Amino acid sequence: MTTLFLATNTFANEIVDLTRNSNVRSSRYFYGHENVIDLIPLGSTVEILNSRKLPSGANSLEIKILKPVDKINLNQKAPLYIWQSVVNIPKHISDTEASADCPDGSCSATVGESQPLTDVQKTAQDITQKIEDQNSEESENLDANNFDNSVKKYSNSLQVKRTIAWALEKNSGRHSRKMCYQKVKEALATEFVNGKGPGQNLIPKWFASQSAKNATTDLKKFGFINLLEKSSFHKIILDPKDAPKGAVLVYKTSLHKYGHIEIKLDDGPVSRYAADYVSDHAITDQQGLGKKYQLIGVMIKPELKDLK
Amino acid sequence: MNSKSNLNYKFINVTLLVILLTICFTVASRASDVKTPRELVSEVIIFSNKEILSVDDLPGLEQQLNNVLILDKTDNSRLAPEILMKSYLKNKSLYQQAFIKFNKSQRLILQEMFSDLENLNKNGNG
Repeated sequence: MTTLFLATNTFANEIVDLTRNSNVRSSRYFYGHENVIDLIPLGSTVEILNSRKLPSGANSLEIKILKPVDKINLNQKAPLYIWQSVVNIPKHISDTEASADCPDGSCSATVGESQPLTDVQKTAQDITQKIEDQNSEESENLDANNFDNSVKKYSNSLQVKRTIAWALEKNSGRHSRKMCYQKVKEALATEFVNGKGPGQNLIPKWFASQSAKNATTDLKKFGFINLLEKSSFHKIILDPKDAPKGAVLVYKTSLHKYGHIEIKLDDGPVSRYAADYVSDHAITDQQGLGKKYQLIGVMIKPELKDLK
Repeated sequence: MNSKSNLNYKFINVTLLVILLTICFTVASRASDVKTPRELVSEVIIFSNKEILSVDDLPGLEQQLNNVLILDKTDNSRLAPEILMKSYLKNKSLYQQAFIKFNKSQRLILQEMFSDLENLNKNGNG
């Protein structure tokens, strides 16, 4: 197993970069999912506010999230805890742990203990640690798998089907009138600018805005996330062709300040794309013109309610 | 009699050969005149790099608007006019001079493109 943290300094409150995905929990209980608030990705930077040794020897770390930016709002739900396996605790950190505060008296009996453990105590500690290691790792892997499943669930959802049907019906055979964001929002809401249409789809209703490139922040208000900000997807999605079906693709451009937006209509590399027109190519593949555009957002809504 | 008919055959064969060669030459020369979309795009991009245009640039501008119209038949994302956006906004009067050189149906398309660029510049794409 690789080291969990790369310490950047060892002063009072350590700032560290995570070397794997970690569950952020609302309490120091590291079993199950009941207290899991969110998953922060590999590469996240956190400040360790407090560290406490658990009975297994692993650490419970109270943290403040510094990076990624879209997870910083979790700090409002403080206290936040992540788990650090005993095998990943660098010597200097565990050394300082002996002086960690332990107001409720629940800290490990080994902290500050001068006498060696008996064989029975050692065996009991080993078992506890192994169970906790396994439980925590399983739950974090489960979160990653759950996330893959939620991407698939999004692509196959009724809401995405409705969005794609709307986009095809309203925009096929048309030439762009430079209103890509306006039409993409209509498709997401299944509602026209003037309010006609069923609405209540991937977004509740159409909303006014100016710049397609701002969709990376606009759509987050409706529960969308940017897959390019998730470390596990950042390396996989290098091109619009790699994006899942139904993903909203956001671009910036050197041609003007507004950027571009389109919806990927099919799974796989051979796909149609809809903005205020429908094309067999993503904007980055348009006859040598696409080099002027750069993909900055692959937006999906991972937590969709089932519609009937 | 035989030699006369042989001569006739030879004449016909030579004539056919000349016609065939002429057709081949014409097709080949026309093919070299037809530019690929990528070549058209490259021309538009190069032209768009010149910020301020003068009357001397009018023939070049007409050529680029013609390229944009050709590309419009295969690219419904209309990226080519977007490439000329900055140039259009800075040289509107020259674009109007070039515009009147096109026929009615071409003017309709160009007018739509220009108005979309104005609208994009003013209101964005949301």
